[in-house]
Amino acid sequence: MKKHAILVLLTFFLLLTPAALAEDRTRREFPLNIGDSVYFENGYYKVTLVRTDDVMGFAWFNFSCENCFHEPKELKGYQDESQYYPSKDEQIISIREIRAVTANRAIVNLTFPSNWDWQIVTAEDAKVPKFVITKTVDKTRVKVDEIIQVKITIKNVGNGSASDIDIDEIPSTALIPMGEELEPKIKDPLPAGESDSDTYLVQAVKSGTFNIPKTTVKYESESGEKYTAESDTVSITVLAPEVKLSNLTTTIQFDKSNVLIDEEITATIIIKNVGDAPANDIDLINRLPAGLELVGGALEDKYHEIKPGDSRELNAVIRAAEVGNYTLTPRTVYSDGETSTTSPVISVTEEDVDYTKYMYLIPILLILIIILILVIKRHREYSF
Amino acid sequence: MLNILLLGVGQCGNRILDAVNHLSLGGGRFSKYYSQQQYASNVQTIAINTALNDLKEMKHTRAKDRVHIPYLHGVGANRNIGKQCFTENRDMLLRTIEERGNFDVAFVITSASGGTGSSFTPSLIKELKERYSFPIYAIIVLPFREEGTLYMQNAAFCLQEMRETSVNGIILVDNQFLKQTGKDIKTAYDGINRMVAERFLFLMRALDSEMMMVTDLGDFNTLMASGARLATFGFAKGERDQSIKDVIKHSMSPRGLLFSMLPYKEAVRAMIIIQGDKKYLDINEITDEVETLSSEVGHVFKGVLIRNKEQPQVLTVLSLSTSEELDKFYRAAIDAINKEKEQKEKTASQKEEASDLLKGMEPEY
Repeated sequence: MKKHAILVLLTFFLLLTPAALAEDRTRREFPLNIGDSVYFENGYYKVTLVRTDDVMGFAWFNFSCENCFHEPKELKGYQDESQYYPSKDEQIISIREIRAVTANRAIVNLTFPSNWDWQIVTAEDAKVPKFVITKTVDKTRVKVDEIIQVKITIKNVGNGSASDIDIDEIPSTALIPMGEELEPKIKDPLPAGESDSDTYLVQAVKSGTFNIPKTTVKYESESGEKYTAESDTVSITVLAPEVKLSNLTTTIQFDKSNVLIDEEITATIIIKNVGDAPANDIDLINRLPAGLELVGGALEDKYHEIKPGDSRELNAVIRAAEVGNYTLTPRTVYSDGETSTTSPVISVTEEDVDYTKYMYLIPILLILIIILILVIKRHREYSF
Repeated sequence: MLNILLLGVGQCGNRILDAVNHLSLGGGRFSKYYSQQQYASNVQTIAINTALNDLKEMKHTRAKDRVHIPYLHGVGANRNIGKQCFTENRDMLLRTIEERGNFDVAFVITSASGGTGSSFTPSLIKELKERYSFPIYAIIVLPFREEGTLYMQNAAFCLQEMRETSVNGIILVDNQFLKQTGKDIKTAYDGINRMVAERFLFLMRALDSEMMMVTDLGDFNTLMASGARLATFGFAKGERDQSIKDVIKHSMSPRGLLFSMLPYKEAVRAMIIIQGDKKYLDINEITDEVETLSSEVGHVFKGVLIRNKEQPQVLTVLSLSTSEELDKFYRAAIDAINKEKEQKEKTASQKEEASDLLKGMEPEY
């Protein structure tokens, strides 16, 4: 019994080997346009021209079989290089030669079992659905907590109805879907030429720029072939929540910057809130450098609050005590931060009077003195 | 160059002297502070007064040229007190004059009516004439006739005493006659003083200048020695397009003279000094007018000073033989003396009557 079994298996094996099959194979040329298929055994096996490269002379073919255990396979044909389906070791259908490759057409030479019937099914004849998926949002720039409506539109641009439509929508971590489970629903089956859409809402939960992932849709043709289509991703910018802060600026100006020793300078310090929130607990710190003396007014002060747009002005009279160049660096510390500035340079010099320019006055003074002496002399001469 | 002594005695003499000095300095308000005296000659001026305030009022005379006679505050228009005061201070005064050097001529300016001037001047001239040989002329200012009996009698006696001295001549200036200026009393006095000063300066300049037609001190001496040794000044300044003949006539008109007189009738000699730009000085006109005058009064001295770009000016010095106006003045003075005498007698009589009535009576208390 065992011997018979081994014999039967061996016979079966031999029957299935290429060598055994080679004897019953037919070689034939098929002129195909892109999308055209050769159906063997009433479409149990299909060879479809997918695309061409007329420059290089390549042509790609999709090999598949229905309800068999061989996976569909795309093979590239080129001149007389042979390609095999499902494999070289198990050659059911083989590409022997490719020629007359154009932008949308090629002639393929196939070998297949001789007992197989065949027919060419043109693209127009094949009932193939084809989905174009569009993913849109009502706004791409939102604030945190704002809600965005996501719309998925599926259009069947093929010539066959699609069924068993499975929409795979993956949520973003920053854009949380609202409501129930994220499962968009569209019309199923979706006839050729028709479209349907569904929407769902997501809420922005944190700031930044995020992508709503692409939508993947799986569907089948009437003939049971499975297809997958994807949408593009959608970029959403979520703005950071608006935070109101105070912003103080400090400026210091002098009425003059070049002074002589003992001359007085008036300093004007202005603190202004250019922010959009009140500044509190303001402390103006402004140390006077050695060489300058405070004569009047104040250079430092504290304020409880400065409202947005408001300012405080402080005036001080400073006396230049020593020669040198001086700057003041008032620092303003407040509830939302601190600011500092550097004043213009005060240049203190010693008075250097150029007396030579008054030399011309000497003869005038001498003349005046002489005249005065003469007048006094005359006055005495005539006084009795 | 002449050496001239110019004395101003009493308030009136001081003021005229001050006006002469002022004009010699240029006449400006402050000219004394910057100007030099522009005398052509060597002129020494001395102001003499017993009233300190009168000396202090002088503005243009040097302090060293002011001599105060320390005697109360003036002699109070009393010539007797004045004469006594002069006697007491005579040596000091003569020493002061002597210190000024030698002179060719002297002029004494004074009022005949006041106290110091009228009493000092005759005595002073007498003393000077005894010591010096140079001619001395007095410029005597006669008072307004209404100024009072004392002034009138002072003027009469002063003038009389002056004529009794050996003074070389008296030039009369009559305030009464100069009232015609018709202004307030101060302005009138200032105007008179200035008029006298202007004429006197003109004369000094003429006596010591190189002239086209010459007059000199000798001519002046001859002029003043004639007649009654009385004289007066006439003066006129030519207007635009006025002929020199007219100007000469104007100088001898009542408006030009310092003392009222009738030139063609009362003058015995004359001196005409003409000054101005050559273009105004037509020699024929001058000669005609001089000839006309000389045919009436006798000799006429004439002098012409050429001064470029100046309008013509004429100074006339007229010596008098007789004077109707002076006669009137003397009569008015005699009336004043009589009136004064009557008042005194009346007062004395009243005093005697009162004394008779009270005789033998005792006061009852």
